[in-house]
Amino acid sequence: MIPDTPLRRLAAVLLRAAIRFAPCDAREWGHAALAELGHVEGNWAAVAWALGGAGVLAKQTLLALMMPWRSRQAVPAGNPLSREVKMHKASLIAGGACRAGVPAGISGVAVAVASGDLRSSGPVDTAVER
Amino acid sequence: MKALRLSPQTLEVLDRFAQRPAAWHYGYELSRQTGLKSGTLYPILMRLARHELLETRWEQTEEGVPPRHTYRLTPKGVELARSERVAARKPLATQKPAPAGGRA
Repeated sequence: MIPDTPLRRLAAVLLRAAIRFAPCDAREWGHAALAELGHVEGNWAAVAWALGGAGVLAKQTLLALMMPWRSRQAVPAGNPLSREVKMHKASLIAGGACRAGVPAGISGVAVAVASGDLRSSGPVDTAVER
Repeated sequence: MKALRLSPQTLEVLDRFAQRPAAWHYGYELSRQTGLKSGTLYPILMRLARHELLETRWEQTEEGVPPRHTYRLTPKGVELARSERVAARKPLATQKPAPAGGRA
């Protein structure tokens, strides 16, 4: 396991934010990328790894929003109504970012910021309980 | 379900798996071996898993370290990887000079 640095922490925050808003079926893959982050050699390589993973999740999120039949479990259990409002707002921001040509990783952050929550995803709504 | 598109990158990943079909592989290890970035590798792994060509599991390697996601081809995946490897070798085989069959 490689020691933690501010860049690695930033990479982890980015990936966790993307996981938080990803459809349920894609979250496991986000956690997979996050688990590998600690093994990626080089701080900038870790950021690039996280950006790639967040980009994949952002794409899955957008696909789930535009084609909900692809991912029936996009809205997690708990407080689905507030989640839906957040997701709608986030989709508008992310859609705008995509049209403006913003890279997928950055639009993933935009999704997180739009919903006003950058906390790490807890074990309750994640695919893997730690 | 959409048919699996076997891009050169997907074939590269399948080939890596086929080299050690019984072994479990980590995402970062596959990325290093194939030279694919996470943004390319994970969609491939996701597609392979969706088509039941890949099995996944979480593996606890060390205490206090998050478990890692590991991957292995299913028998269906091994079969596909083998057939694709054979198909990839075919053009090479046809390039070989034909044996001199003119001898009587």
